[in-house]
Amino acid sequence: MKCHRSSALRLAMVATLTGLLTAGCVHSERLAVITEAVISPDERTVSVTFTGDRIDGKVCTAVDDTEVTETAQRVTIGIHLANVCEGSPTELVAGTGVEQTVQIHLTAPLGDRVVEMPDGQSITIRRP
Amino acid sequence: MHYPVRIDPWTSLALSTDTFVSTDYPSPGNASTWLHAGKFGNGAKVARTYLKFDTTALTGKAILNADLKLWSYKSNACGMVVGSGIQVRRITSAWTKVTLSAQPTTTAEDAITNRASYGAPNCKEEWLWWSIEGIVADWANGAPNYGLQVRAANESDVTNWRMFHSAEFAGGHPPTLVVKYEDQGIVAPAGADGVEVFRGNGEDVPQMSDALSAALDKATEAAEANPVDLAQPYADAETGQLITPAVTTTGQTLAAKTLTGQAVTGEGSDDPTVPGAVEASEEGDAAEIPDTSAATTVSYSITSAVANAKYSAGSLQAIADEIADLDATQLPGAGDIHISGVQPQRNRVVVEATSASVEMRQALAARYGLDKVAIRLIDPAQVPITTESRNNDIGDYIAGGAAYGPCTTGFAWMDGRTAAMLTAGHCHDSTGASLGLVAYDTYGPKGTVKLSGQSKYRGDLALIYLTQRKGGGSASVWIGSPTSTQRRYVSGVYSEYAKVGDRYCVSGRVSGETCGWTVKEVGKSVRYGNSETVRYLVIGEKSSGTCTQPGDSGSPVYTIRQQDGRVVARGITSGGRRDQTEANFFLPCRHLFTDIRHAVNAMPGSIKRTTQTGIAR
Repeated sequence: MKCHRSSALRLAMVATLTGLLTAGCVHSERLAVITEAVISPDERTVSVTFTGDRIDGKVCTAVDDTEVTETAQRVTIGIHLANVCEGSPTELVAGTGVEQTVQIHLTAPLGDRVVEMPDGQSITIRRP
Repeated sequence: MHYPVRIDPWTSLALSTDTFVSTDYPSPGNASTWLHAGKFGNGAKVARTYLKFDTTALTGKAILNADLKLWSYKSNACGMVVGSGIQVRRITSAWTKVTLSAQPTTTAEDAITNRASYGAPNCKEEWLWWSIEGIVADWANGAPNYGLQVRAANESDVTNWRMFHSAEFAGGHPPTLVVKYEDQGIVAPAGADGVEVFRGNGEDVPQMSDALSAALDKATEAAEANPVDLAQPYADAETGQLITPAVTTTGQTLAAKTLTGQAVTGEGSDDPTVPGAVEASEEGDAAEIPDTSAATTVSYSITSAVANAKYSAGSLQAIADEIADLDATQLPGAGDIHISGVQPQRNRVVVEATSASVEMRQALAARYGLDKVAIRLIDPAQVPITTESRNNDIGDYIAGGAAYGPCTTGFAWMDGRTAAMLTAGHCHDSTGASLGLVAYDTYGPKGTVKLSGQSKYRGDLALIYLTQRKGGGSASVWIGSPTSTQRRYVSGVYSEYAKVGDRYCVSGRVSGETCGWTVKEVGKSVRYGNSETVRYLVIGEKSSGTCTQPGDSGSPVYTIRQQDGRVVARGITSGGRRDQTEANFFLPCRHLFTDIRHAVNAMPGSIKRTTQTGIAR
């Protein structure tokens, strides 16, 4: 897992002032907003579309980590994003969104389970 | 009576004549396979296309929508803004054959211009759309239909032309006029079957003067402060007279007051079509004083007429609020009711519903009486569908704060009768919008640019004509999370430029609705990381919670009115700090936006506003 620059910077600053830092790298705080999930015919692969960042023509978000929690009633999908562009975190930018996709594999067919983001927001399911 | 009553769908009208005349073809017949309109030959030559459609079926109907489509297969250049564009006008004198020297007269009233251009040799062929409800409504209201003229919007242009397929072209794409209309009036009167059911164009609000608008705001505040004695005031659509209905004798004294104050003027008064651009130098740009001036005001003194009303503002508003919360067990067909609100002109509550069963009508009558509530039947296409959400705003209407293409929509706008959407200019540097035509854009490759004919920079704004949405824009913005299904209505634009210390909310597709922002700086030129300079932005900060993200560009910036929950437009999101997620002690969230006053002054027309209150579902 990569640690992105600004998280590291912020953590370093916190560490300097509070001395509470115990680990060198933690989850990026940024959870992707998932706009759609397309289910494969075998119901086990989910193509998850989310809105990433495009700044100065470059796609600046990449999937840092994914977390999938499956129960009988629901599937929770969390996509953690990392910043992959250079630039100071204090720099001001005018970017746009960009559609990005990642594949998630389920341990059991989705069936009629509901799909949610970790914060409880529902994800629209599409079966092509 | 049969329910549910269906409203007429889109109708394509029969084309009876299509022809063109030009300097090269001064006396053509009607059989050519192409049509030509605009200016060419180094400014020396002109072409005009003439069309006639059979509109006899429309007489006396309410025109909800009318779109003329011409297939642009060839043009002098491609783009969303080419020359002055091509204008469609209503012809005002009879003709059977046109020649260069004998052409019928036209009127600029209700004329519509589309500045886009498609076709060989530079880009693909495409339909060009003109939203001509105004012209078609003129015909429906009795103006003789002598047809349409299609021409360069400004015939002083040197080169600005398009060629279209005619009906004689074998490959299809003939001139097309599609119209949506409905019968108006009472469908079922109040009686044994329950409350009244009617149809009609619900959003046809007359344009008010700034003074009248300010006086109406003041009268509305008075009614809210005296909910037992007064009813909701309104401006008479015919005469423009402000009317405050009173329920009690105390109310009559209150209503008869002369309302005085300062009304903000100048909304849309800067005409971007006036020629004579002032092209300042880079040095001059740097020395230019930021436009932080407040809008000009005018004193007003308007005396409201007093009318007698049966029901008070408080009692009607309470009913409107209650109906919005009723479910199907309390009111049959509650699921078909989408909007409820007070109709001040009739001193009653109107619910807008896609069907009106006898059970629903009788239940409303039993609960509230026969004359306190009426049902307006609406086209299902006008309904904010409950499965729609911020990131899935797919209906005929699109609200602000919605995901679209790369960005977020801002506020619905009306340029005359043309439905438009305000968003950020930098979202559309090279590509068109999935919503329609980018009509105006204050953002170029190097940052802020002046609009043609204007002397000031106006931040980071784009106005998109909603040619891809049949219904146009909704005077509401999505609130809550990125997947939220709730919206707030828009009451209008803030009457002053943002000031340091002002608090505001932002509602974007990625970060959802975030409030608690504070204005830190105003009227600033900002150099973004890519060396693009955006001029005259407002900078806000927030020291806790979620920050905005790049996909939130274009999103609405607003404050919320305490009294009715409607939002007041403050601006359009432009940018923020690179890679910000959550605010912390060291790095607060930063948010940059274009003040809505710049949109008011730069863009033709005005924001789409509504008197509806509460939360839309």
